[in-house]
Amino acid sequence: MKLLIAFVLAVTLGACSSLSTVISTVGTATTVYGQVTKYYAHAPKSVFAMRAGFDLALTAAAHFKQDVCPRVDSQPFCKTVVPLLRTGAAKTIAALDVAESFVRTHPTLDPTSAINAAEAAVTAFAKTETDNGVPSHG
Amino acid sequence: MGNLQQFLEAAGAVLADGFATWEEAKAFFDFTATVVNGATDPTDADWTKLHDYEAKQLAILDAPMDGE
Repeated sequence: MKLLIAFVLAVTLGACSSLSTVISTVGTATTVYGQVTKYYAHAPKSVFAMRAGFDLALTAAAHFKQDVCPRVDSQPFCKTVVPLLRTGAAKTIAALDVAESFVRTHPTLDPTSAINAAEAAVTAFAKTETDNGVPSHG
Repeated sequence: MGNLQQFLEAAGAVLADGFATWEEAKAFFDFTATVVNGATDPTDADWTKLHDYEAKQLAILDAPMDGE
């Protein structure tokens, strides 16, 4: 875990509020939270930690949009990337809602399927940004 | 459990470096760590607080860009 923290700092400290910062933050946050959720065997806390991790990524995306793309033509990529962030966030939230509902309703049943789906959605959110973003925009 | 706290603090510092909402972010990370490190399941109030924070960020992302 300490190595991952060091990685977080190494890839993002000193960076401006850029797309590359968002991608690094999202990717690292999901990686770290993926490990954190495995660290917590208790399902409700795992989903809570996963959702908090996504919210970290969402915060980065929201501020990227606010700071880098306040206008649709602020940067050439704004028109494409911001809608992708919105769509990815909506899909991820839907999956997290399913997992959260499951663990809150059935805290003692096996949540593996719902949690895996939510984790896959969070990972996909980060991958969508990585696949469609251009880090050199920063 | 301490590792999560360390991560949250590090992540908060990272965001604070790039973004202007340090106090809000720090409060969120502190809250998250408290819940996850707690002895009990997250309460309804905890989930609601998480959703409220998420909704605020989502509203920023979803708000139309000027000219959109």
